[in-house]
Amino acid sequence: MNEKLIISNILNGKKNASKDLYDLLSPIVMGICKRYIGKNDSCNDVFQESFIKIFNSIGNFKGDSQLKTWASSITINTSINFLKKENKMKFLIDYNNDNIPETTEIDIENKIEIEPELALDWINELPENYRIVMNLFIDNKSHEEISTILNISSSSSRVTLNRARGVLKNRLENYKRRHEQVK
Amino acid sequence: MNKLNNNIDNSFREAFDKLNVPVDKLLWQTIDDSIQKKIERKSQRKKIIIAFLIGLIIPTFFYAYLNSTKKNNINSNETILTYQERDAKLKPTTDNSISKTSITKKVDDISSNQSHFSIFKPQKNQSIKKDNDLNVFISNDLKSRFTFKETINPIRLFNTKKLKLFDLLYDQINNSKDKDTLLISLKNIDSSLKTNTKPNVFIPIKQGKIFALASIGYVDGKTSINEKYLEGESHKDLPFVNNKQENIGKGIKYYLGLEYRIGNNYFFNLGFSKSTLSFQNKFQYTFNQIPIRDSATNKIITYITLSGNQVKNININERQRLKSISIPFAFGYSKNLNRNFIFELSINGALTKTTQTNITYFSIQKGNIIPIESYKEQKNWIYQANLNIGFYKKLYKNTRIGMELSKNIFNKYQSINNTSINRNGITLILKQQL
Repeated sequence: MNEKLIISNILNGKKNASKDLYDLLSPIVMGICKRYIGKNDSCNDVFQESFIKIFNSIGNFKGDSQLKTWASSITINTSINFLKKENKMKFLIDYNNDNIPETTEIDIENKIEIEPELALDWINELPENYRIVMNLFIDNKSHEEISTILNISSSSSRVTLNRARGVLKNRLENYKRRHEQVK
Repeated sequence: MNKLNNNIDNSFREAFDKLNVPVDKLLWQTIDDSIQKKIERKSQRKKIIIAFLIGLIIPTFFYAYLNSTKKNNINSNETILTYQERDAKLKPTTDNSISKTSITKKVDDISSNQSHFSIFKPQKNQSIKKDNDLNVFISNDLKSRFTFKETINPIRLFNTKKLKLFDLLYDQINNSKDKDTLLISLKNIDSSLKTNTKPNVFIPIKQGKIFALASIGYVDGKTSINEKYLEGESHKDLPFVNNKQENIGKGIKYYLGLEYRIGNNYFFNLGFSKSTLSFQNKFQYTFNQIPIRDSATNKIITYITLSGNQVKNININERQRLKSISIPFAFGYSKNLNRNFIFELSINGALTKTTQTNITYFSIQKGNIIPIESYKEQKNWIYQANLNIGFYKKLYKNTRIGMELSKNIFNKYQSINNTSINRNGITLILKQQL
């Protein structure tokens, strides 16, 4: 169903309109929750809280962006707030700017196509601080934005991201190798 | 560092763009419940505001209306003494001659007449034939609101100016139908007061007063377990080893209605009410005996004792939300405790139709509520009776505000899951005489 129609139905108080919005957004919202919170019981709590926020603020959605993007940003904020509240951010190390070694950006030669579920597993296996920074970067946040959100310096964000990439690079290369062997 | 150039990031970005995680269907029920609760709270807030506005506007309107009517009917030169002024004036002349109760009774009686009979201070240009003569103003509007129980006996009134009682004969009123005022002769009855006997005062029997009622109340409730979890047996037929029930039920009700006063002490009221109740119940039962019934009569013949794994352990959590509309009616007794406070005792009945019932059975695992079974019930009827005790304070002459405590004495609610619901509560009521 058309996004605009769903929103207009909700605002007009039509029956089942909320369920339509839920059916449209729930896989995306749950995906974000699983990426940020991990596959545990808290994930459902954050999912519910995100959805309640989405329903409560749907009247404020002006259509400047896609509905999915708007809902994603609410879910990301809710997830980050949950992690802050649960003190999960304690693993985030704010490296002193002076001592950060200048490292080259870790990358791979070409983009690799991976199954979404496998990507989710790999992200969930990362240490908490790597996972949060990596996720925020994948969600198009700049280092400056990440530093503000997580209350760390942007250099720390860069270092953490590069280390997360280091772990994921090994995974991707092993995956590519295995894939080529099978072929 | 360009955030879009890294192949590792882009590999994951593209993978996550395609990520669609299936969601447990039961999560929707929990979210829907939270949303509905929030919507209800909002609508309740609106209803509270509306109920209070109605409760304020209606009495204010009628108070203003009645005051303006009274002003139109009363001559500006008229001597209107307040209750306290009358009392103060009456006291010195009667303290030594009659008992206080007797005076209070008289003044109360006179007070009840005062709004309908006003005694004029004679105007300067108005000639008075005798010293004891007085003008009494009786408007046609007020006459129409009276029927006289004793048409032969006189109506005794109090002359606030001369501090004397006098008798007004029915014939005098009857003959003055076309006049607004009536010249009557005062009769000195000081001598009868001195005898300290119960005064022979005849009070006009007023037509029943009608009050508009607006109320908002807190209700609590109690519900019992669905019998399907008790092997289809009713709760009373099972001998329990463990019989534990935690029950939290709370809600709010709004009521608008009319009350008809029969005489001074009895009343009947009828109205319209809307209420919402939410229950959270925890049932923990264990039983090791089940009844064996006679197939013909369905009476219990004996009990079979269960052993080992057969012993029934029931651990059920339940949530219920019940919305209903009803037609409540009451018959009661009212007593003036003093000038300002009124006590009321009433039996209330209500015919209620549930408009929405949501029932969810759930379990709690690691602090999370996991819905097991959930359904919405069809519309259903509830018959109930309550005993109410209320205390009211007169705010103005025709306005009362009060609080009522309600105790459920009878309830018949047969829902789809065979639960019954009892309701008690506290209600804040505003009454305005029309």
